[in-house]
Amino acid sequence: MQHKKSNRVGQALLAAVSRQPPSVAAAETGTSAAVAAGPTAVSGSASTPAPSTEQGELVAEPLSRFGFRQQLPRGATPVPRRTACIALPNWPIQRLVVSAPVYRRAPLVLFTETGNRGQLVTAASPRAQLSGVRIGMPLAEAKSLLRRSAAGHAAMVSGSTAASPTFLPAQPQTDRQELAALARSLQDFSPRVGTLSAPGHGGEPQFAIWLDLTGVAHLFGDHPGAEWNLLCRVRDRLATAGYLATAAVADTPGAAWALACYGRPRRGTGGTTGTVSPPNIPAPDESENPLWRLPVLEPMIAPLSSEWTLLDPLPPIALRLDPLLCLTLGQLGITRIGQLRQLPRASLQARFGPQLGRRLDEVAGVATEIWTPLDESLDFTLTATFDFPLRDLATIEVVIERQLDQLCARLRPLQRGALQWQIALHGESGGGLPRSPSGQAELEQQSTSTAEFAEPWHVARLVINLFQPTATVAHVMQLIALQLEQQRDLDLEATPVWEVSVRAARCVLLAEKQRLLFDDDPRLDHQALSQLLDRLAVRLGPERIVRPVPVSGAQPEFACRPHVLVGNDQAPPRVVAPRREHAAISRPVRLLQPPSPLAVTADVTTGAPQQLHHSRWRAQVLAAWGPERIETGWWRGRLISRDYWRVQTSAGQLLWVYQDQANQQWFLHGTF
Amino acid sequence: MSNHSELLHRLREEIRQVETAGRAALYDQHVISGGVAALDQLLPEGGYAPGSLVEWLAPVAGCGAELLGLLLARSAAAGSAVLGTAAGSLAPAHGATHGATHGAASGAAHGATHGATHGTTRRESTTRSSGGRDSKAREPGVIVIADPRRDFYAPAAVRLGLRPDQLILLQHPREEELYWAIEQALRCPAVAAVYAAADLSSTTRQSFLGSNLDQRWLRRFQLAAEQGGGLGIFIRPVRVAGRPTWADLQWRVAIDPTSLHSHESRTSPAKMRLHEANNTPLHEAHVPLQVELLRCRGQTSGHAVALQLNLQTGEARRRQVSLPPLPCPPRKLSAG
Repeated sequence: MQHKKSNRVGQALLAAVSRQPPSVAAAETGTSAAVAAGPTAVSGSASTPAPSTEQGELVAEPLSRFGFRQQLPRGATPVPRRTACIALPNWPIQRLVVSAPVYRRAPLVLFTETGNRGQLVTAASPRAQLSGVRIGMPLAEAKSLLRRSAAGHAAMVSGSTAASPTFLPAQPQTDRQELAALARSLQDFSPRVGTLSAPGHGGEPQFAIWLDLTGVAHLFGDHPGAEWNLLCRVRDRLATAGYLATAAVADTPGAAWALACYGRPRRGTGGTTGTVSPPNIPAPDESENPLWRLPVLEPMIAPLSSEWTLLDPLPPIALRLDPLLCLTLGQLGITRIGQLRQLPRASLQARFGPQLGRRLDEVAGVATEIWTPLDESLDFTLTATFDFPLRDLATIEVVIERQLDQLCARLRPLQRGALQWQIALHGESGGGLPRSPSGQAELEQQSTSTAEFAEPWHVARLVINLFQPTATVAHVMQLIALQLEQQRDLDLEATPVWEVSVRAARCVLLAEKQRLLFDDDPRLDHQALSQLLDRLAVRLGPERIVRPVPVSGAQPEFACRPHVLVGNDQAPPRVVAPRREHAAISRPVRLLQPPSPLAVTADVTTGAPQQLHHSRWRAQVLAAWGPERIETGWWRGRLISRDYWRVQTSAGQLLWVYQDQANQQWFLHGTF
Repeated sequence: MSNHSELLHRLREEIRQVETAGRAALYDQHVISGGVAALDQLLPEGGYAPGSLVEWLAPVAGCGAELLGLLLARSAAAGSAVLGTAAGSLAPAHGATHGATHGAASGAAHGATHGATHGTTRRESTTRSSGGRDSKAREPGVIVIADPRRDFYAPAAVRLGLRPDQLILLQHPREEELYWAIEQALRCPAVAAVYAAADLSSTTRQSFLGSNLDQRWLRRFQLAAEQGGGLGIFIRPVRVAGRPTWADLQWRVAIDPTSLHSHESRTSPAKMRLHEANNTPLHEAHVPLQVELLRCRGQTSGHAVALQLNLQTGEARRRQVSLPPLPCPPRKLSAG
């Protein structure tokens, strides 16, 4: 049913696009390119047209995994990305109350069993919270609080019998599944929906549903009020089902999240509230339970590219930061995002880690945030069971290839490719995958859980992570063969194979680029690069193929960190242009870790080294350039204070040496 | 006389055609400037042919070979310093056409350096310096860097003007795996250059790219590079000089200990030492290099050039000194 709905929206979208006036029709290609190429990206950064490149023919859209550019035809403007976020406060309680309204009558407390601290409260209904129950307190304490408040209530209101509180074990897995089901029920508003949760103030998770509204909103009304209409209808539907939700639309997913979860709804926010009258939503069951009477929350529409005015007054936790980090910020007196933005970025990064800066960039749309829509993480498994065991690798490869053929045939019409392929060879005791009674190869759509694959009886298990999704049999087969070669302990005589499972996990939309007819420059062929990376990752290991990411901060050891390229869900960091004032040759090509101690004779007046004595060599200094004082890192526990010199020695070397100002020791730190 | 030089020219051309038959015809029209005009001038084609292997031999770590190698990688990856010289018309070493090529080479190299160091749009400088001679600038490619010891310090490359998102480091400790990876990377058309350096401070022969490197690997690298069209840039210890190699070019790099400050400050070191403290302009901070062409197809070996490497701008220019050449193994005409 839901699929039909989303198909209907898709067709309507296509029809609408084809009916666009010329100015929008020019952007049509851009729309489809953006949708097809951004399998997992809900990017916020494309709202302004990117500067044209050298030839002036192409407009680049930063939507890439490696800095590849999405090419749009000349004159096409990318459709501004818009994301709606619908926050469902206290979701574990909400879903229980909606599913069984009887819980509404009495305080409801969810708890979880922890290893060393006993039973702890994970969620409490508003009524329970009024009695003083807090997230994270022991269950026994909650019980005694509720008992006391029930007694007080009975004493105050004689005659009314307070219902006895309910205590249930928390079911986080079910919470997520129910949330996903609810999100799917909203697919008739946008085909790309997803769920998200992030820790809130007390560490309890905040749940939300998001909808990608890029190019969708105009189906729900004329331009100025379309998003408002859409959100009101979403909220209407949730409200009639009994859910309480707050919603927001913004350019970037991060901003939409912040506004939805932490925004202060005000009348007149956004540019559209004046034109559309807010619908009248009944608060759910006010008569029955006074504690559910919360203010009717209006959707917040952040006008295009003007989010900071709305975001600045929000607390830093709205950026989905680590709660501990927010605590630290609070202790420093930073309680609003606006204050954070006024601080210099370099020091933020150095003192609070990379998360803060990244979130700010993502909210601003400078960095792309990747949220995976629900139904784009399909995966397929194919299992073949044999009547006789296989002892021959070549036969097994043929079986795998045949299965790959079937899987890819299944993926291709969906325009999807897998980012991860898993092959499991199961031994005699049987595989972990649910076997069909007939024993035939069976195609089934699995949930995303990998529990089935973790069975202990497998003969071998290969996991192939890819840089870009693929549904090409030959490419995957090549990688599988490479990995099978490396399975040196595979002894098929001793442990014959009874069952072969191939699984296409993490299937996302294929990012296909149409090649030009006379596209004769092979370096444009990013496919070749991603295939190279795939091959290298299979043989060397994905964690060994990295891209260096410069990190701001003066201490040389921490000036760079590796970013794993293959199988990494994190968006690639943005490139920071080197600052102009740096000398071109002021850092060594090879950095010694740890620095090697030196005995140095230095000039008394200038401090410049004159003679270097290493444990294995000694050299005269012919020239020295410096000192470059680096004094930093006190927050890591010890102040680093060093005077760096570039020296040219009589041995024909250009070295990077420093004197530690703390103990006057000299060290060799690198060679040029 | 003219008959003689014509004959030589024809023979060279024939040898070149035999040797580079595997090279894709697509690349034959372009050569890559190495970022150092003085070195480009020594090469018969005025630059580096795509799909060739370049070896930089270094006596010790930190002698500047890695810097020159990275400058070459930068030019290859920027896709900017591509010159429109017709490699087919192999000009005599000091002919008129050659001179014109030099001008363009240095111009393009300068443009590339300028654009890269100052973080301006590189493509603009490309088109400007190419001067419309050949507008077919190549798309920037990536640089694959073999880093078995995990000591490659990327900020150095970034300050030299390489873009960090163009770099891919392979940090596998086992050399066999890395050789395989280098071959794969050279074969890939999206890779502009593969950069790999031996451990110059190691004294064992059993080291990555050391003197015991199997010739078959180098041959495989060469074939892969010809197919992929990228440059293979290898920094190797100087003791492999004179051994057979499949590299198209072999340079030897050393810091010149004698020349520096011979006229300036060997007697008063403090004056020379403190460039910054003494308010000496930083652009005068330079290191004297001695670079010698040990092996090159279509060129007699043994040409040496004295460079000075400016530490502030990263540019290397010809140094106006007359020096006796470094003591070196007997020179011979390269066998091709």
